[in-house]
Amino acid sequence: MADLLSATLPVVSDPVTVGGVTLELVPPTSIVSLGAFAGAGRDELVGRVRAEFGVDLPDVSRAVRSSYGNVAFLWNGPTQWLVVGEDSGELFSRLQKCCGDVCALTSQGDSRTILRLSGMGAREVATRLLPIDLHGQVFSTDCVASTLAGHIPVIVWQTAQTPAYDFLVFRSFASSLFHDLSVALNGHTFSETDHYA
Amino acid sequence: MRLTCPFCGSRGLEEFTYRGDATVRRPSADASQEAWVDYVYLRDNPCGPHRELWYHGAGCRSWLVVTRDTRTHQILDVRNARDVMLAERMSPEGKGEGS
Amino acid sequence: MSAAFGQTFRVKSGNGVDVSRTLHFSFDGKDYTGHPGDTLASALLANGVRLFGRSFKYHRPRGLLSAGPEEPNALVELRDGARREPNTRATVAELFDGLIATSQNRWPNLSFDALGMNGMFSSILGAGFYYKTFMWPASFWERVYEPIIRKAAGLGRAADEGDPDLYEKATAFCDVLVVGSGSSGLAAALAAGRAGARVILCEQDSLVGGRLRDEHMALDGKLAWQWAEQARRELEAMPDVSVMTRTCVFGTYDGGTYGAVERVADHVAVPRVGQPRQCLWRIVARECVMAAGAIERPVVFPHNDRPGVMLAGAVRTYINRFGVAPGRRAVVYTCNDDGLRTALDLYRVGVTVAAIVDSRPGGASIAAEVAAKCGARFFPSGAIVDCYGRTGVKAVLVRDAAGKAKSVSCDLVAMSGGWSPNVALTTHKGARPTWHDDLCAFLPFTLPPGMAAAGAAAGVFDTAEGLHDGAMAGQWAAVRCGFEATLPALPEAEPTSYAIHPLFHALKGLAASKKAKAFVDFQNDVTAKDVGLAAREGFVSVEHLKRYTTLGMATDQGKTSNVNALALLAEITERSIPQTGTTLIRPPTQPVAIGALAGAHRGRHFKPTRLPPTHQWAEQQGAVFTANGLWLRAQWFPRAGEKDWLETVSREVRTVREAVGFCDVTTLGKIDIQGPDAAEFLNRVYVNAWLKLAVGRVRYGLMLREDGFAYDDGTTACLGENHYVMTTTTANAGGVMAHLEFCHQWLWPELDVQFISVTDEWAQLAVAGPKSRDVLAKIVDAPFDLSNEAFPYMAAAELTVCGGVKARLFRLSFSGEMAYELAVPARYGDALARRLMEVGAPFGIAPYGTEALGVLRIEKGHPAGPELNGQTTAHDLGMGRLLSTKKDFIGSRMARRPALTDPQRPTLIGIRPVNPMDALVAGSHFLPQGAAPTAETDQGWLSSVAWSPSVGSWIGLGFLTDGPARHGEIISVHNPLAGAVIAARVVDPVFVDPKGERLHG
Repeated sequence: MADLLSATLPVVSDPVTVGGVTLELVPPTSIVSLGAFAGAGRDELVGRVRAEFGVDLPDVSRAVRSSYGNVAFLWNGPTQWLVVGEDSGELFSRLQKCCGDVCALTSQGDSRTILRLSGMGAREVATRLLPIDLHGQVFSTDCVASTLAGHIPVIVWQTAQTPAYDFLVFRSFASSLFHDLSVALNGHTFSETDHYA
Repeated sequence: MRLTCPFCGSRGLEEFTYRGDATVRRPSADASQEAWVDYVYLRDNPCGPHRELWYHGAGCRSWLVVTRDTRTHQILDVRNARDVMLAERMSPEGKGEGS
Repeated sequence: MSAAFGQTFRVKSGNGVDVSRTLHFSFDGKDYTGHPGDTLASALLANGVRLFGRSFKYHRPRGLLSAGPEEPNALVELRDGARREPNTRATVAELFDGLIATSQNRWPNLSFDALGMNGMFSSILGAGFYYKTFMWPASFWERVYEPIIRKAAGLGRAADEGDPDLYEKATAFCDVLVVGSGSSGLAAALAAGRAGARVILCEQDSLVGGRLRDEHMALDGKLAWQWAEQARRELEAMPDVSVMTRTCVFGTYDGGTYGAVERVADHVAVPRVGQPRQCLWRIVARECVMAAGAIERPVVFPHNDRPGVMLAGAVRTYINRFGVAPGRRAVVYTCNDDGLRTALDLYRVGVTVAAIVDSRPGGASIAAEVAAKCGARFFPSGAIVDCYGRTGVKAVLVRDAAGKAKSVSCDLVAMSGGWSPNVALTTHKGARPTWHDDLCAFLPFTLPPGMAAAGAAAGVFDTAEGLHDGAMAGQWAAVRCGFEATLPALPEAEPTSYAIHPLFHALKGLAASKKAKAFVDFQNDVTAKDVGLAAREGFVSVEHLKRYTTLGMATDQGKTSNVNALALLAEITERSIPQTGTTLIRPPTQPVAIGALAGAHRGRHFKPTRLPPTHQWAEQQGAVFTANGLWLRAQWFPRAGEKDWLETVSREVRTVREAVGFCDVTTLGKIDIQGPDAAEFLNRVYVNAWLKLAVGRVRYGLMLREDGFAYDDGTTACLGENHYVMTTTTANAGGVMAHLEFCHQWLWPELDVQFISVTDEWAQLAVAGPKSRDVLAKIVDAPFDLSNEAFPYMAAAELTVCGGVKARLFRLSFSGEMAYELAVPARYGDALARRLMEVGAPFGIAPYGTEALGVLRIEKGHPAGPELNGQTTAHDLGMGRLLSTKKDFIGSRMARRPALTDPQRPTLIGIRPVNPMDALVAGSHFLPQGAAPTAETDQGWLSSVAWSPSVGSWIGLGFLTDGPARHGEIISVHNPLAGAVIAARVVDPVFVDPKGERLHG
C-alpha cells in the first residue's frame, strides 16, 4: 500500500560561491562507524579490513582511501573509525560480513551531514572558524581532525589539495554551520593578506 | 591554555572539559563510608604539579591524565587515561602511579 | 580655539600622509580638511585645533598629549547613529572622508563648560572623594548620589541602537610572532622569515616602521621609513610571513597564546557588505619577539595639562610623519638627550624654539649645542614650575639653576620625562618587571615561556642597537623552532645618546605645588597632591594607591602615569622605586570592543541551533517553537479559532488521551552501546538490574551521580546480543555520553564496550493514544505483528515501514496511553511526519508539542528535568525500590547514607488545589495549613505544574516531607513572590490511569 518515504535534506540553502570559494552540501553518503572490541584484538580487525579493502586502518588522525569501491576510512578516536562510502545499502552489509563479529558497526550516514568548502582561498575561510592549524605543512590532503567550528563540533577532512575541506557535522547542526560558514565566506573576500601563514 | 592530546595534538582549552583530581581512586562497594566521603568530596589543593582528569569532548572523546603546575598552568605531561589505568591495574602494586 | 580655516599648521609633507588627496571631516559640527594617512588628531592639529575634550573629573580643557594609543586626553566620539563610538583616542583614529567626530564630557560646549567649576571645588574632589562622600546614608545611593555622579562624570555616550557591524573571531598559528614593526620588530621578522619560519608580524598602526617614521633619521643613507617599507615588501613576499597592520596584540595567555584585535574596517566610514569591522585573533605562537617599543613619560609640573603641553616624541611624530607643527613657539623640557631631538626637528620646520629647559644638573653639553643651533634660551638645571593659558598654553614659568623664575611665552611645551619600555605583554602572566636606575625604567625580567623582548621594549633605545637586538631575537626564535638562522645584514644607523637623569616631577621643594594642580594621571584627573593625600592617609601600597585615587584606570590604563605616580609615592614615603613596587598590568593593553570578543556569535546566532528532522514540516504547520537547550522544538501547533495556547495544548492533550497524537522526540539523547561487556556496563551505571534484559525488550533505567543523587533517566533497549540503544534526557545527552566514556575509560577500562551517539541518526517520533496501534498498522511492513501479544508494552524491534524504510519500533509510553516510539533514518523524519498525518487522519491524529508532552507526563506523574534537579534522590522520586542491593553501581554506596533515605526528606507527591481553577505556580513552597511562612515551617516545594484537561483541574508535582504518608491532607501552597497562598490536597502523583491499564492496552 505504501510507497517509500522521500528523503529531506538538512540544509535548504543552495550552494554559495564567493571569490572562487564554494560552500555546498554534499549529497548523502553512507557512513558507518567501526568500534574495535578489545577482546577480539585490534590486529584481527586491521587484518580483516586489509583483506577486504586493501588498506590499513589509520592509527593517526587521517583518512585512508581504498580503491576497492570508493571507500575511505577516517580515524575517529583511539578505537573508532568512520567508513565513508557511496550512498547505497551495500557498505554496511559489506562491513558486517568483513568484520561484524570483531567490532561495533553503527550506521552514521544520517547522523552526519557533509558540508564542503572548496576552491582557492578555502583554507582562509576555514581558518576563520576552525581553531586548528590548517597550514599545508601541518594539515594536508586526507588529514582529519575532530574539533570545533566556532561552537559546533565537527570532523574536518581535507579531501583535496586545491584545497577542499569536508565538514562532517551532526545533521541537526548542519543548518547553523552552513550559516556560520556563509558568514565567513562573505567576509573573506575582503582580506588583503594571507593571515593563516 | 593549550593541551597536547596524545591523539589529536595541540588543541585549545575550549575543546576540553575539566573534571578534577586524577589521584583519587574509586573505593570498593564495601569500603567504609569514610573512604567514600574522601573519594566523593575531599580534595587536596596542591601548589605545584597536579595530576588531573580532562576530557577531550570536542575532539577524540578521550579522557586524559594531565599533569599541570597549578601555579603557572605549565602542562608537564598528558596521557591517555585508559592506558594509565590499565597499566596501573597490571602493575604488581595494583594501585601505583600508573605510568 | 574656534573655527580654523585651512591646514595652517601643515608644514611639509609628512612621510605618512598623502597630501595630493584631500579628505573632508567634521569635529563638533565644524568642517575641516585633512589627508589620507592623517589621524583625527594630526588633521585637527594641522587645522590649528588644540582643544580636544574636557577632563573626567574637573572638566578641565585638554588637548593632545601624545600621538599614539597611550593618549589619555583626546578621547572623542566617532561617527553617529548606531555606529557612534565613545572614548575613541583621536590619536589612533584614522581619518576618512566624511568622518564625523564630537568632543565629549562638555556642556554646553567645549570651550565653555559649566561643570568646569568642579575645578574650583577641587579641594573637596580630591583622592577618595567619592568613597568618603557618597557613602551614607545607604538609601541615598540610588535616588540621589548615583544620578548626580552619572550626570557629572562619565565619558562619552554609547550608541543607542544595536551595533550594525559584523565581527569575526579566528585563530592563527605561527612559529614566531613578532609584536611591533619598529626597527627591532622588522629586524626580528626578517631574521626569522629569511630562515623559513612561519612568522606573523603584528603592528597596531596602519603603517609599519614605528619610530622609524616618527624620527628624522637615516638608515644606510636613506630615510629610515623607506627602509621600513622596503623591509615590509620583503616580508610580504615571503610565502609564510604575514604582516598584519592595524592589529594590536592585547594579551599574553597560557601556552603561547596571544590575543590580538585587527581593525579591519575601522578606517572607513561603513564596512562593505559582509566585511567584518574587526576580527579578534587568537594567535598561537611557538616563540614571540615582543618589540612593542616604549612610551614617553610626561613631567609632573603645575598646570601641565594645558592644551599645547605635549610629549616631546609626539611632537616629532606630528612633524615627521604627519607634516604638522603642533605650535609656533615652543619650549622643550627634557631630562635626557632624546628630548633634544625635538628642538632640532622644530627648528628644522621653522618653529621658534623659545627655550630649552634641561633638568639635568648643569645641563648636558649636547643640550647647550642644540640650544645654540636652534637659537633657544638654555636653562640648564632648570624646571618648568607653572604654565599659563586656560584653553591653550600661552607661557610657562621657568626656574633657572639659580632658583629664579622667568616667564617664557610659548604655545607649545614639548616635555620628556624619559621612556618607559612597553612591558605590558611580559607581565600578563604575573611576572613583575624590575627597575633599572641607569635607564630610569622598568624592564622585563621574567618573561613568559617562549617570549623574548627586544629593542626599546627591552630598554634598548639606540636604533642601531635596536636593529641588532631585534635581529638576534628573531634569529634565536627561529633557531628554537628548529630552523637554521643567520643574522641578516642590517642597515647602518647613526648612533644616538640618551643620558637620562631622573625627572618625574618638577615640584621638589616648591611651595607652589600645594596649590596648583600638577597632573600625574591626566585621564583620571589625579594630581601630585592626590598621591600625597593618599600616602598621608595610609594608602602606601601601589595597589591601594591605584584603587583609592583611580590612578592608572580607564582606557589608557596608566600608560603615561604609572611610573610617575610610583616615583612620587616612593619619594613621599621615603622608599626607593623598587621598594615601592609596581602594579601588574592585565590584558587588554588597549580597549577591545565587546563586539570583537563576541565575533559572529550574537543575536540569533549567539548559540548554534539544532533542528529536529521534522522542523521544516512543523514550520509549515504553523508550529510555535521553543528553545530546549540548543534544540528548537515545536511547543504547540495552533489551529484556526483557538483563542490561546492553553486551548491549543489542552486540545493536543485530549487528542492523545482520546485518539492519537505524535510528537518529535528525536532530541532525547540516543547512544549506541555494543560489546561483550555491554550488559555488565549498563548494570554498573544504572541503579537497577540489567543482566537479564532479553533481546527485543526495553527497560527504564535511573542513573545516580557518585554522591548518591539522581543524575539522569531514560530507557535502554536490547536490540541484539551485546547491542543496546540507550536514551537520555534531552538536557543531559552530552553529559551522559561524557559520563559513560569516563566510566569506561577511567573506572572500568577492562570492560569491552563501544559507544557512539546516534541522536542525529534516527528521527524518533512518539505516537501515543488509544488509536496509535491502528495508525502504525497502516505503515509497518508485513509481516510485522503489532498485536499486544506479539509486541507488548516495553517491546522493541527492528523492522521496515512504508515499503522498506528501515526502522526501529519501541513500545514505550511517557503519556500513560498505549504508545510507541518509531525511529527512521533522520532523512525520512520529515516525510514520516507527513505520512502519519495522512494515514492517521481517519483516526483523528494531530501533532503535539513539548507543552502537551509536559502536561501528559505530569498527569502521569513521570519525573522530568524539574524533578531531577540535582538535589533529589531515588527515594525522593519514589524510586527507592529500584536501587539494587545486589551489585555495585555508580552512587550505590553514597545513596545508602541514612540522610538520603530519611522519610522526612521531601518526597514526590501530586498536588490538586481545593479549587480546581486556582492556578499553581512552580517553585511555590509547601506549608502545613495555617503555618506562618518561615524556613522552619517549610516542608517542600512544587516542581511542575499544568492545567490538566483530563482531570479538569490545575495539578502539580512536588516534593513534600513524609509525602507518601500524607495523601489526602490539605496543605498551603505558598508563592512568596506573588504573596499568594492556595489550599491544595496532597494526592498520588499519578493523576491518570493509576493502575497503568491503558499503556498495556
